Amino acid sequence: MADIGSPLKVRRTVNCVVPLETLHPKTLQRMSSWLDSYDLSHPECSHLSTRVVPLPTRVLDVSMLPGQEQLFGTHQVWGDQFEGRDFKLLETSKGQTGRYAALSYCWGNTLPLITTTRSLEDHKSGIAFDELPRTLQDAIMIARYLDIGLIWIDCLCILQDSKTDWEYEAAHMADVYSNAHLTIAAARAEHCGQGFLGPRNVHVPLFLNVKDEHGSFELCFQKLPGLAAEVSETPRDVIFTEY
Amino acid sequence: MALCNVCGSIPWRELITFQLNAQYGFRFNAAGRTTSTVSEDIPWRTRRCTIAEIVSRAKTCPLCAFVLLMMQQNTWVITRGDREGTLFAWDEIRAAIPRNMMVWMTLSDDWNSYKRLAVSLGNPRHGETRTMDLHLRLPFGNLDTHHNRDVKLIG
Repeated sequence: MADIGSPLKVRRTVNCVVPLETLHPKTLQRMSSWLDSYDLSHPECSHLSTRVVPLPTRVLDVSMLPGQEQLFGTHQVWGDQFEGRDFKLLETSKGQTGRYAALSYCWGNTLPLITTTRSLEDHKSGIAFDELPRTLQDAIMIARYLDIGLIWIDCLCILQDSKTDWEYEAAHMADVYSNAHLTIAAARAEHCGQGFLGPRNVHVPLFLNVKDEHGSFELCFQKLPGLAAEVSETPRDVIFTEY
Repeated sequence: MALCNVCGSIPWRELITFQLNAQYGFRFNAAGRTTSTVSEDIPWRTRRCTIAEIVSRAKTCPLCAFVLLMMQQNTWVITRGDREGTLFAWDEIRAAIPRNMMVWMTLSDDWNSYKRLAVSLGNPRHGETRTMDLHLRLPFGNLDTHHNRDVKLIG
């Protein structure tokens, strides 16, 4: 710890208040601006902004679902816009490139919808958005808000009853996540049915208008539990936490 | 409502504009209640006061009122003695620490970089509960603050 008389060497951040609303317009704006700034100023992952990244063996083609243009400003009724819509499982060809998101989540005890050797052809024809568990629905809505047309979700992109397929895909899973344009981490969802875009369980912050000799400014306090730094192995994460 | 003289003596502007690290502390000794349990080179980092004092200050100081409200709504966990780990509501913790119960408030600026007011309850010598963390945050309109340290202040 530095003594009082020494010059400051470390400058600490003060983060913004945690809004109760997960899909707060400012949150969405920040998410988009981060992605844009990473595309421009992060040379270590700027290749993810281009379309030269190899696609996984299978991805979900959600490009036919509503995108940012339709979703902008309507975050309170996103679910309505996806209701009754279908998307497809896409088997990619060797060497095919593109831009995709990946989902990191907790399955929980059961999954209501998986791809197997029997359901593969059906899923290539179409998957009903309404049949997805909530966490998967939320991930697709975030991907679409960011105008990402492909998303990789393990339970639907790996044949869950094929040992051969599972072993091959498991061996390449690190590449799948590291090549993703964005990894959506559903950290606050304990199981696939919980979702992560619901209201947060946080205290209402206190806003104070403070005056000093230089004028007035605003302070904010919020009761939050202990916060730990998130550590990620993937280049670009957007992590949805409770706090 | 204006801040009380204790809360008002804290260099908030310097803290949120990064001109001062939280580890340099609060000027809580404005009330003459500094503690010898913290390092001598940061003599005004920790505040210790009675419940009666914070109740009294809460009548006019919005920050003291907020701290008191959060204290009343918090679930407290004893960290010492044979009741370690036990959960207590506000009324229960007041009964569990009956004599000379003190509020301990420390401005923390730890490894994870979050500035927060860590509040615990205890005796005149030390806290006896886990801390309740009141984080110093910026209004959500300041979108650039995470990356751009030039915090824009109103006024």
